[in-house]
Amino acid sequence: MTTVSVLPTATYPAGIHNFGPIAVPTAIVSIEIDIARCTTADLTIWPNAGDTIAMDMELSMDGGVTYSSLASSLDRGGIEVRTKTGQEVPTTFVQTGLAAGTNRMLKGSITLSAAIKTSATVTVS
Amino acid sequence: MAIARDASSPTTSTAGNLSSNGTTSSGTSASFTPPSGSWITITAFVDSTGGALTWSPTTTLTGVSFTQIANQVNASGGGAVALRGFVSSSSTGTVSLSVNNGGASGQLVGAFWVDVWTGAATSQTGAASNSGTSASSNFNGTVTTTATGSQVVGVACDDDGSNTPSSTDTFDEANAGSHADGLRVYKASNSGAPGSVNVNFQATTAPIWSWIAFELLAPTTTTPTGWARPLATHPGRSPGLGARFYQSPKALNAAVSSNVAVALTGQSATFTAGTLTPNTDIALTGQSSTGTAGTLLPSLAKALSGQTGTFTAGTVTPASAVALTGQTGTLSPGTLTASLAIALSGQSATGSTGVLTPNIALALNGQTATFTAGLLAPSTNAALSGQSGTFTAGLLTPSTDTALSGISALFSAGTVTPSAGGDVVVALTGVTATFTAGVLIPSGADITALPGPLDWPPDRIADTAFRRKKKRRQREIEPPAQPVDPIRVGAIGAIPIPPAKTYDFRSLAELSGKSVEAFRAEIDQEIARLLAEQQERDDEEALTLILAALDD
Repeated sequence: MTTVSVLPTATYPAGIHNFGPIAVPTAIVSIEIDIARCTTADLTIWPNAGDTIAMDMELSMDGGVTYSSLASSLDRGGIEVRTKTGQEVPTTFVQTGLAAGTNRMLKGSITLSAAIKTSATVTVS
Repeated sequence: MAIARDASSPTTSTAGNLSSNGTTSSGTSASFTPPSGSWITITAFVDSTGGALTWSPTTTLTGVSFTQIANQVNASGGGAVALRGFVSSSSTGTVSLSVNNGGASGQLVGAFWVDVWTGAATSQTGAASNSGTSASSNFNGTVTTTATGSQVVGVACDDDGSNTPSSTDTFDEANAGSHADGLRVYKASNSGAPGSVNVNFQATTAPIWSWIAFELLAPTTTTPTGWARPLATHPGRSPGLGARFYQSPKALNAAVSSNVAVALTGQSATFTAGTLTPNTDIALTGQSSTGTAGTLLPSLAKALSGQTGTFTAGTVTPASAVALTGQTGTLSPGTLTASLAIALSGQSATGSTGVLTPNIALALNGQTATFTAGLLAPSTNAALSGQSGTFTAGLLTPSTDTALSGISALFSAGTVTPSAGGDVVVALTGVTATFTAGVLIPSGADITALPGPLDWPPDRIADTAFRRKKKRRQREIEPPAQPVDPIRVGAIGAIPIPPAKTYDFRSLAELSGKSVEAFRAEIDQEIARLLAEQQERDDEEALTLILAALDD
C-alpha cells in the first residue's frame, strides 16, 4: 500500500483542481482518494457545511487515449461524528478496485464550491 | 429480450432479515417461484467486527446453487456480499443465508435481498464486478461492463447504522437497528456498449461504506453473416473456394431463436426474435418501399401528395353541403329534391310533374300563375280589385237590416213573415210606414157597421196617423144588430158579412171578391182619405180654439 499526497494542505480557490494522469502499475488492484475534513483538531479545514467538494477519478485501460469513470463523490464540510463510535470523521474517501490491465492511466479532479482549506491523498494497493 | 427484475422476486423488510445469535447472522426469504432460465442474485450487508466474512447461501429450490460474485468488508466492520445462481427449471422454494466471521463474538444483524432476473445469458462467465469502501455521503461506484445490454446491480453496507440510505438508481434499503444500514440498487435500464457504469449510494450522516457493483450479462448477440449462403452444402467442399467447412444448421437455428443484432449504418440495434410489423405511418428516409398486393384504404380526409390515386368502381355519395374545389363531379341518375327556399344561383330548375300548391297570399312577381280547376271560395268580405267574380248557383241570404247601396234587390217569391210581436216596415212610394204585427183596425168614420165583434185590442191601433191625434177618444164599436145586411165600409162598398163572426183582413178581402193586394190598396186609399178629412177637422177645431183664446 502506498499513499501519496496529491494536494498538500492549503486553501484552494473555488473551481476544479485536476491531478494526473499517472501510470498505474500492473500490480495495483485498488485505489483510494482521501480528502481531509474538519475536526476539532483543526477547525480551519473545510469548516462550513455549505461548502462542497466533489471528487472524480477516471481510469484509462489504453494508455490514456480514452478514460471512463472509476469513482466519484460529493460531500459537505463541517465536523461529522460517527453515530456508532462517537468518533469524528477525519477524511471523506472513496476506495475502489481497479480492473486489471498493463497500460492503465489514472487521472482525477477535485472541485471546490468555495475557497476551502483541505488536503488530498491517493492510496494504492 | 432485455434483462429485467422478475415479479416473482420476494420482498425484504426495511427492518432487515438477518438476525444474529452473537457469532452467526442468518435469515430466510419468503417462498417464491422463479421461472426457468432465470438468474437469482443474493445481495446482503451485515454489521460485523471488521474481519473477513464467510457467507453461506442455501435454498430449497430445485437444482439451484449459488456462486459468490464479490465480498467486501471495511475496517469499521460493515460487510457486503453478492452471489448468483441459475434456475434451470422452475420450482417453488426459499433462499437462506448465513454469515460469520470465523466464530468471533460480535456478529450482528443485517439484511439480504433475493432478486430474480429474466432475459440474462445462461452463462455469466466473464461478467465484471467491482467493490470498494467509502466515507462519502454521496458517491458512485463503477463497474466496467464487458458486453452490450448488461444489467448492473450494486449493494452497499453503511456500518454507521444511523442512516436511511438512498440512491439515484432503483433501490431498496434496510436499516438493521443501529448497527448497520444498507441498500441494493440496480440500473433502470440495461447498459449499452461495454464500458464504465456507475451505481449511486447515498447516506446523509457520516456513512462508512462497503460496496459492490456487478454485471449481469445479456445473451450473446450474433450477426448472422452466413444467412445469405446456401444452408446445405457439401460437407467436404466449398463451391468455388475449395476449402473444407461445415455450416451447422443447429447453430443457425440457435441464432434465429435468439435476439438478432442488425447494424444500420452508424447505429447498433438489437431485435428480439419474433414478427416484424411495419408501421405504415413511418417512412424510411431516402428509401423506396415495395408493398405487397392488397388493399389500400385511403382516408378521404388525406391526399397523397404528388401521387395519383386510382379508385375501384363504386358509389360516391356526395355531401350536398360540400363542394370539391376546382373539380367537376358526375352524379349518378337519381332524384334531386330542391328546397323551395333555396335558389340555385344562375341555374334553371326543372320541376317534375306534380302538384303546385300556391300560397294565395303570395304573388309570383312578373309571373303568370295558372290554377287548376277547382273551387274558389272567396271571402264575402274581400273583393278582387279589378276582377269580376263568377259565383256558382246557391243561396244568397241578405241581411234584412242591410241595404245594398245603389243596388236594387230582387226577392224571389215567397212569404214575408213579419217579426212576431214586432213592427213591420213597408215602403210605399215616397212614404214610410210602420205597422205592428196583428190586426189592422180601420177608421170607424167610414165603417158604418161591423158584422160582429172585432177581437182587435183597443190599445193596438196600428195607424200612425191616429197616434198623432191628441186626446183622441177611443170609440167603442158596438156590435151591430143582427142581421145587418149588407154593410158598407167607406168607399169599398157593401160587404156581405155573416152575423156573429170575426173576420180578419184576408177574409174580408175574400168576401169582397178582391185580391188581398187590391183590397189592401183600397183600404189604404180609404184610410188616406179619412185621414185627410180628419186633418181638416182638426185644423178647423184648432183654429177655433186659437181664436177663442185670442178673444179671451
